[in-house]
Amino acid sequence: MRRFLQRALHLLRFKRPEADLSREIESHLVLLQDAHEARGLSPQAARRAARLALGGVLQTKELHGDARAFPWITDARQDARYALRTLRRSPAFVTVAVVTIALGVGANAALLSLVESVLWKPLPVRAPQELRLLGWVSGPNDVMTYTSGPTVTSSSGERIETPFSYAVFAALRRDDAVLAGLSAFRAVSGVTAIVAGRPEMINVQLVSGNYYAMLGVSPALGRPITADDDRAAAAVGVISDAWWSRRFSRATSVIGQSIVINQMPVVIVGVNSPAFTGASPGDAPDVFLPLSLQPGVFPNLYGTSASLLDDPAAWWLSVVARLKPSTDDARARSLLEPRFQQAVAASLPDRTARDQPRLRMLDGLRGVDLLRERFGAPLRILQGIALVALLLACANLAALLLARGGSRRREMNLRVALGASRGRIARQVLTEGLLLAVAGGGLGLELGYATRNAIPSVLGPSWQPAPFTAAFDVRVVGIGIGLVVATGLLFSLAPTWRLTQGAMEGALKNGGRTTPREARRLGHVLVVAQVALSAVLLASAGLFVRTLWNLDRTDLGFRPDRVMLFALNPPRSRYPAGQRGPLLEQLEQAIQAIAGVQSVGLSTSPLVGRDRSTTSVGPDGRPPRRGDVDRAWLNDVGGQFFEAMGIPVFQGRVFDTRDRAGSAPVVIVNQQFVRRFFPSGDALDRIVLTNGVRYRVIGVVGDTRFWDVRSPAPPTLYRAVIQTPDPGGVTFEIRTAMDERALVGPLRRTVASIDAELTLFDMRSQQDQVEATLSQERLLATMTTLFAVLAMALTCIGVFGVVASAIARRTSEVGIRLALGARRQEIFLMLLRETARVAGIGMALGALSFIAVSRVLGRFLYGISPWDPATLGCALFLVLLATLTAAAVPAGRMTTLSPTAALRHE
Amino acid sequence: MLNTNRVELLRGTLDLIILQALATMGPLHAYALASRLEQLADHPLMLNQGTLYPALVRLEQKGWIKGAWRKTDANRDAKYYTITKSGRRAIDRQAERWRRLSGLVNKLLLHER
Repeated sequence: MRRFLQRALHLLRFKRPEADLSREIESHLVLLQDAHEARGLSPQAARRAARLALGGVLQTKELHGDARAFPWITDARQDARYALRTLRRSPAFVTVAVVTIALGVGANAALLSLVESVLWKPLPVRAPQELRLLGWVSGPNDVMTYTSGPTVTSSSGERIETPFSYAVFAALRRDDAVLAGLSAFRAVSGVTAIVAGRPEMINVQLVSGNYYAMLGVSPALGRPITADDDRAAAAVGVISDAWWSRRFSRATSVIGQSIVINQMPVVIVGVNSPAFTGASPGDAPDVFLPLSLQPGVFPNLYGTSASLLDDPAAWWLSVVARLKPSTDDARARSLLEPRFQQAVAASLPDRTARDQPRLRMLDGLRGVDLLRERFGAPLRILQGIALVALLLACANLAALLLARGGSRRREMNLRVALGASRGRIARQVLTEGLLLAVAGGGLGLELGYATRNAIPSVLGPSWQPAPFTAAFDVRVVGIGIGLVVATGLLFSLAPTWRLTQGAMEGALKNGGRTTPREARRLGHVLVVAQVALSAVLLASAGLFVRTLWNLDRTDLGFRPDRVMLFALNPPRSRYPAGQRGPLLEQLEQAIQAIAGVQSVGLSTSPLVGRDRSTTSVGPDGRPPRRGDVDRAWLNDVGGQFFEAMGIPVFQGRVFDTRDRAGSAPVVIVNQQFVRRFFPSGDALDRIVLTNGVRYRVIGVVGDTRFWDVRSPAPPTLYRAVIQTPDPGGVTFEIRTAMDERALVGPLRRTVASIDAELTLFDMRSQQDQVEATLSQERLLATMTTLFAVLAMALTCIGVFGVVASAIARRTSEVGIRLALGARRQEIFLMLLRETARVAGIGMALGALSFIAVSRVLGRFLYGISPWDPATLGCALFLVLLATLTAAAVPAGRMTTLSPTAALRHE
Repeated sequence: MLNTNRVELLRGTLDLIILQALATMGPLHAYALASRLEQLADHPLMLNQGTLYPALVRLEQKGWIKGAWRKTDANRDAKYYTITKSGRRAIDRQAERWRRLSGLVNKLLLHER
């Protein structure tokens, strides 16, 4: 131990003990010299004898140095210096290598930071590993009347509902056997906030009183929401750090400031820390309010009162539990499940005959992880592709290093002759590789950091901020460094092994050449690897591009061009139930008057916007069966919706002035609805029962996509907005003859002229909306194509290098053939044949690997099978073409050689 | 060329011999030590100065000897090494170990016969 410390210390002050040793050696020499002189030698002779007796001074110093410090560190320093000198001699190679590694590592680093944000990073709360997300599953005849909330997929693939009713939540909260705490929350969007007279649309998070306490989070400024606030329905709120920056310029006077939320005065009592944005990664609420303020913020539109807290049939709250530290999941489940069942039965006593929900408990490390639901799978695919690209880069570099190594044969042999051990030479070559890897890797990490938010910004809709930000934290950097080292070792391994083996096997006598067979085989292996990997990447890219192409060409059932959209949610306190309809009509007429507007419509759900509402329907007035059997998608529309969206009307009519608030309830259905519920084919004048009202069908319109481009058209029911009792937020659709973006200003002015406090938000074109739902597919297509192009470029370079050195080895053979009269064309083809053969093996391997892997891609594809032969065939053909082209260059050059020059080449 | 393997093998014995020399003869400098070792051992190769210096460094790092610059009788500068207290204790421990080892080997050989 003491020696270790001494050695470490020595490392830091290497120079001075050197001087001490020199002095000691010198003194030793002097003493020896004296002794020799005493025996009668002359001073010079004595000096020489002394030197001889002492032995190699340098060796002594070296051994001394070895004993004093850590020899491998001094060696490493030497190796590094030598490696730098060698590398400096081939700038082209170094540039290619560094750029290749930088791109490979950079892509991986950027993706890692995304994966960290979307899949790994736990919530920034106290002991997130103790958290559990509660959910439930149920048969079709469920007990709930109204469910609103996300569905998540468990690790076993089960689809689990997450919203709970307030009554059930309150009952579960009373458990103290396994729960250290239970809190509920709900995200509400489209809320109007007025700060200093200026209205704006914000996102709100309603939270139970113990939310902050249970999560173990404190605001950076002011105080959190407490249980007392919730009990007293106090009008207080905690704002987010982002909103504090955006709206309040980070002024500390914000504490105690009063703002208006949905016409309700609220006092700000705290500001969250920048790291905390709630328990749903990806959600970024601007204000946190107590749950008891729900009636004003997120009123119940379906029950008798505005309160959802009192309605046991409304399930709308996300619930997160914190288990007591020593509790295991099985025990927690076994104790909570009966309590849950009892709570459900107690809150809905007259529904005990229906399918009772069963409790599920999910890992809550990341809270309500909608990010993982939405983006986890494509990101994992991209990560896989990036790793494949990195592997390809390694194979490519190994090939290049091998090709380069041929010229260093003599140098290696010399070093062996001078006494270097095999390990020493291997270390030298590895150092070179590691230096390249570190240089490229460092550059790559910077690249990754710089581009880390490029992908998230593409994934979300263009009119909204990115759904998440990349987290380039310590873990990512650590893994990045690991990747760099692994890369360096990986691509140095083959050349190192080859070089040292060649060197040790008595090299000088062989003219410095190793067995050609060994060299060729390694080169072949690398080319096969590169060709196979490129083929897989290229074929994958082809699949994704075709998918995007198919999606773009899908008929949506309506005309998305030249339509402008915006959303509007009139505040309830200014526009209570009876006044909302007339307001919407007024707006619609005013907008129609704008120059350039052809038609104006409005709907509660925009089309192809990942927004939906479903309802149970009873054709011909019979009661609807529970579950999904008698379910249709619902869209309440107004104005000239069908005309604005370009949806054809096949039978009957659309809503017009005859359909008022008090007149007979009417609906319009689409063809899919007719097929499902009126199979005889005639739907006009038939009755549809939904939500307790009997509607008469007055028209049949064409099928349209509803949720997104992929999902087929569902059976759809259209009601007239004016006939619904209490319309909520709506989306306006405006068709124009000119560029729809020119409408932005006029639209804002028109709405403001009717009511200056009305805010319209999410203004975008229908085309943008549709494209936003394709963001994932677009991302996958773009990224895989980029990687495929990169892969092809690398393969070309690698093949070029390997083939060039392989062909160089056969120079004398070529010379002989030429001298014996072979035609240049024959030589060319002969040289190419070997490459073609190797490429063929690579293609076969690539095709097999692709077939094995493409199954995973299946769920991302659309309109194309994962084993589509055309795509695979094209990819293989392109790779073969690229490989042969790359090989043709050195082969061609070889055939232009004069036979005498070739023969003379040694 | 120096064969580093041989140095490893002799390391244990060399350390002991150096310590013993310093213990019995008092402070010595490197040259004097080398001469002394020449006298003691029959095998000339063992006392290549290359083996001596690493041993001195090791012993100094372990704290068993201590080096100090002094003037010789002939008024030359030389670094004198003195054995320390822990060095003396080390001698006893090493000596004991060697005695036990040689005793065991002897017993085995006697047994064989």
